[in-house]
Amino acid sequence: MNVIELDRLTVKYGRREVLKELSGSFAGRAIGLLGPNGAGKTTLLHTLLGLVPPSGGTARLLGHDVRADGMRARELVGYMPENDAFIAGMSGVRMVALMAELSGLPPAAALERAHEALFFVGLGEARYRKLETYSLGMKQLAKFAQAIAHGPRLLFLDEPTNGLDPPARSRMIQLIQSIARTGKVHVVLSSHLLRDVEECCDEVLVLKDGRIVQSCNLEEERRTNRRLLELEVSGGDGSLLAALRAMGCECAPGRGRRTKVVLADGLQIADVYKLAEEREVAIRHLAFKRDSLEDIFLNAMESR
Amino acid sequence: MAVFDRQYQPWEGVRTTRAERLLILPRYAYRGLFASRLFTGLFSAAFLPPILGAVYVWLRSNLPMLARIGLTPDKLPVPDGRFFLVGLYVQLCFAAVITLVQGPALVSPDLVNGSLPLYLSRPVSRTQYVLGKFLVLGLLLSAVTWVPLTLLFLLQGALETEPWMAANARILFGTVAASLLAISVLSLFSLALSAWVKSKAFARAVMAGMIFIPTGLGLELNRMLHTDWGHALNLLAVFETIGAELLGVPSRNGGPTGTPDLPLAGALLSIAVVTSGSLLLLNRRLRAFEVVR
Repeated sequence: MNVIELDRLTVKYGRREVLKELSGSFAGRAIGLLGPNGAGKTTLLHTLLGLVPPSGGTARLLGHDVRADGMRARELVGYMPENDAFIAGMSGVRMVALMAELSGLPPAAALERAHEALFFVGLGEARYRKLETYSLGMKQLAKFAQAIAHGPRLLFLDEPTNGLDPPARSRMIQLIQSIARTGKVHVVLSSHLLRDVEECCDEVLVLKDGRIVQSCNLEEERRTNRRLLELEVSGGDGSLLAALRAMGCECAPGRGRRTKVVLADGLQIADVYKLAEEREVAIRHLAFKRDSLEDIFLNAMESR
Repeated sequence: MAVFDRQYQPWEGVRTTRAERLLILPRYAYRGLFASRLFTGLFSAAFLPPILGAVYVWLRSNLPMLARIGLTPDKLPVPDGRFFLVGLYVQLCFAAVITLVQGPALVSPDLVNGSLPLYLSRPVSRTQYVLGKFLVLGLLLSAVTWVPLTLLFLLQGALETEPWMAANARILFGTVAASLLAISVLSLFSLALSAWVKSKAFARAVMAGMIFIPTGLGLELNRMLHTDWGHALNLLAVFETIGAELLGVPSRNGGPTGTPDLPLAGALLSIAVVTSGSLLLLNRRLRAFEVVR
């Protein structure tokens, strides 16, 4: 089932069009939402959560239309907002339990899961402290706990590493990865930090000026990258390339004396070295042609 | 997601119904509220007048006790519409003070601390959020207004030898209806103020000002323009006028206090203005985020 389906989704603030006819289906386990500031990432999340009514088109979350069946959709969703968000005067565990109850959990289950969620994110010892006494990193973790306490099927994380120091950021990334790895929840991670998305996501959606300018499956990209080599050899008079072609590889001239090689299925890099040894060819350079997320993002930003 | 293995688990159990979720916000709010001794004291004090009323009703029907203190039943008037109107007025004064203390703390902290997106990203609509916050005050004010007055009415009816209850059913209807109206207006007014002014202390000051300043202004208007419509700016006078009409007794304003009566139309207009203004303000202010157009 698709996690998110968009069909000509348009959102306007007054006369300003913030999201412009977005269309597409996304089914990744962890979907990264990338884009520069003002691209429309948060507005897209708000629209999917029903906080902003679409001006046109439709959006579906896990098969539920966000306008017609928004309440049902929101029962299945957890949301960690970008900005500071807490209830003053409440302890961490009470706020998380309140939020779980509002999502439909019975009181006893909500309280139990609130304790578990706070232990899970590493706030077990601080769960009885008032939220206003938490540090910024702890508040981020408390927001994360309230987003997962009710056991959602889809988790929206809006800039979850905002304002975190390196150890806290690393801890947050680990939490997101561990949740996505369980396979029991889909994660949508909105960020302008490429590293966060690269470390957590298997699918990426790049927004620019309210439009989707790129969407790709990072896993497939990585798989493709693993098969694309850049090779420079000396000696052998082209016998190595001929042998590679004979084994089903595609070879094309690259920069200078280098050659781009797409490895045939079943062929490993070790086989290339073996062939070179048999033909007494020296490999001067062998590298993966790695199309990083940064390349994907920069290409997307340059397009249109 | 048990603590021992710290693994994420989605919720597979049964979810509560939307109707059950309405009382979640009041339940959580009361735990914080009654942790304050000051508020608990104020709330308890609001039950003193109905308790005194109950003692009076009991004493009237207890002839041996009356004889012991040298009184006869004819010296103690039968509780009638005026008795309950005074009771209603006193309880509404307590309700106004409770609203002043608690009302401004209902919405403003959520706006200041950005927690509205947390509520509204769940299966909770803006209307349900307002209704939940409304119930926090509504249930508290009910507990100090129509609930004790209804119990007092039932006590009086039970102790009276004649069929008193059926003959005075209008008193019960008037007390409950006037209380519910006053509770709705006070709650909406304080919610709107709480949404408008983000600081709790400032919202309390503004609310007190909006109760007392228009009252004085209304009296001045009455004096200058030789009218009674100035009382329309005094919320307690408005409730009293409507209560008197519903209970079928002359307003207390025309009695011991010597102030002239507010015309019913003026009272209804005042209610309409305050209610619609509050709803407009709530609709404008309660958004999950600020929209920059």
